Amino acid sequence: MKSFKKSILLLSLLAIMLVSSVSTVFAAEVSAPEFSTGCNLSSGENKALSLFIQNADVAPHSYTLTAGDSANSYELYFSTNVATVKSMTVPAGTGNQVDLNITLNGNASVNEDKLTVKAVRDDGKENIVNLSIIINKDYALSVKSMLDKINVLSGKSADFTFSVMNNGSQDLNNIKIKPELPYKWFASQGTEAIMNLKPGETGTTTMKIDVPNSQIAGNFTAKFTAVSDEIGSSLISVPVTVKTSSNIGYWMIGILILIAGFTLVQFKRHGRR
Amino acid sequence: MIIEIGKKEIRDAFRNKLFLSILAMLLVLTVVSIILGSYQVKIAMDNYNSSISFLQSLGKAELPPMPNLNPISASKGFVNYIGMVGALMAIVLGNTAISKEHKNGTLRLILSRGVFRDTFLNGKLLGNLAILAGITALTGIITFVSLIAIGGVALTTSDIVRLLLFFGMTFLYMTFFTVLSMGIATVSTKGSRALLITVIVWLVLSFVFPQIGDTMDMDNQIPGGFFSSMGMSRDQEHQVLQQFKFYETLRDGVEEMSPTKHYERISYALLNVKPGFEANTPWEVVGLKWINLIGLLAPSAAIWLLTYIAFLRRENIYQSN
Repeated sequence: MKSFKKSILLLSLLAIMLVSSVSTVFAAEVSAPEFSTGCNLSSGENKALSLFIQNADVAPHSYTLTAGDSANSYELYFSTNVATVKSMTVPAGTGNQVDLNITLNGNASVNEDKLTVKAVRDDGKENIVNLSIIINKDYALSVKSMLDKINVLSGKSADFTFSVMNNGSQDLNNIKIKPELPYKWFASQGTEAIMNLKPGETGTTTMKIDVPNSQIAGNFTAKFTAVSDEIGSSLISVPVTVKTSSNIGYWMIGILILIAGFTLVQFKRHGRR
Repeated sequence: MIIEIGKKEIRDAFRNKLFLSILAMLLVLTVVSIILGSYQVKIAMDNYNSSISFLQSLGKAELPPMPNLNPISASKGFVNYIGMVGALMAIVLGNTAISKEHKNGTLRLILSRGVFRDTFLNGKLLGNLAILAGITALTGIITFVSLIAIGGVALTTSDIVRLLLFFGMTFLYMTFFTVLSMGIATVSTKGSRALLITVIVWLVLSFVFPQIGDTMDMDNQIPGGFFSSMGMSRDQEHQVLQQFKFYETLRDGVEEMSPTKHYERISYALLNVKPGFEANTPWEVVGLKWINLIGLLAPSAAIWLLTYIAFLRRENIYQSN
């Protein structure tokens, strides 16, 4: 009997560990009372929490999903396997899964936060799930561009220098800068540059971006994020102004001067008629 | 003498039925597009005002800021009409200016009265440019009045300067086709042949070249993008594009030869139709898009100089057609 009790205890512990390691929220049927669950989130990290919408009614219902009422700023959206959703229809007596995608925007103002998820049924009944969010400060990575704005000529390269800081309390390894660039822009150097940072340390890295000849002049945005083995930073946007190379203008003016010269010669040779 | 020839040109233009028909068509299209655009601005303004009134009736203190209505983008449709009808009108104007003198036998008469050939061409150009400037000014006035009277918006100084610059570009675009048409009519002995050649050149410059630029882009070969359809990474995409560097340069070069493309690019930037220029001053936009301005000015100047040479050296003027 003693060993049986021990086995039960061990199994219970295993079950608890298993449940706590999977960040899913089992939302009860719409009329069920609210309950909470936890979620660990680091700055810049994207986490998807699975929610189950159970329709215990005898008729199918549409559920409108909303999330909010948090102290920190999060980027929040719901998605299923195929696409982003704002509402979903659940057949009678069945349940559907929907993912709540959470990303912390900027720095957290509170470390222990709460997020309210509402599923409002088409007949007005609503179910509320309160999620507690713990901001993990062990790993935190921030990146900023050394220049607020960059000017570059079409067909040329521009150097983007970044300052990367480990704001967490643990070491960060293999930190790289990942660019998100406009069409036909490429990072020719700097994508392989790797650095390791201890807590509080700051490192700098430079990336060379090639702007194609075909790029018409205008204002664009290049986006960058710093990624380590442990965590990613939030995305930063660097405004880039592309100007047309003067060479084309000189060529055009040169051809025009040539034609003007030829016209003058013709007038001199033949006189005004 | 230049002024006299120019005045005569203006009087003649308003007796040209083909020119008047195209002008009427352009004005109708302009009025319709500007009025529709102004109504869109008005609807957006009304929606914003009604939502503000509703929020105020609820006692809300924090009201949403007014969205960027961008009233000057009401002229977006006008860019397309000028690209087609405006260019055709300019071609008819330029062709008639020279070919009517051939047809009526008045060219020999004018040139035998001590009028130099360059003076004759300059007078013709001056008259035609005055007509184009008048049409541009008229459409500009219609735009300003419609935006204020129908749209109910107060234009900022920046909006006014942007619109004025846009109408300046419109004038330069039509000037190019008038100069081209006059140039071809000067070289050709037959007016109808010259008109046909000019229309073909217009079709190539306005439709074929820009299409080459757009549709021959490697990524436009498959709906949804060639590279993403093939599941290529950015590095692989880079490697492929490096292999086609000459092709890409050629494709871009062909596109740059189209004045219609230059007109579209600078106009859309000035009218804020193309995003990314909202924060710039009108002169900064022109500074960024100077290549498009040169692309409208330089070909006109070059063709005009070549027209001088062609007319100066032409020996068969006194022969009857």
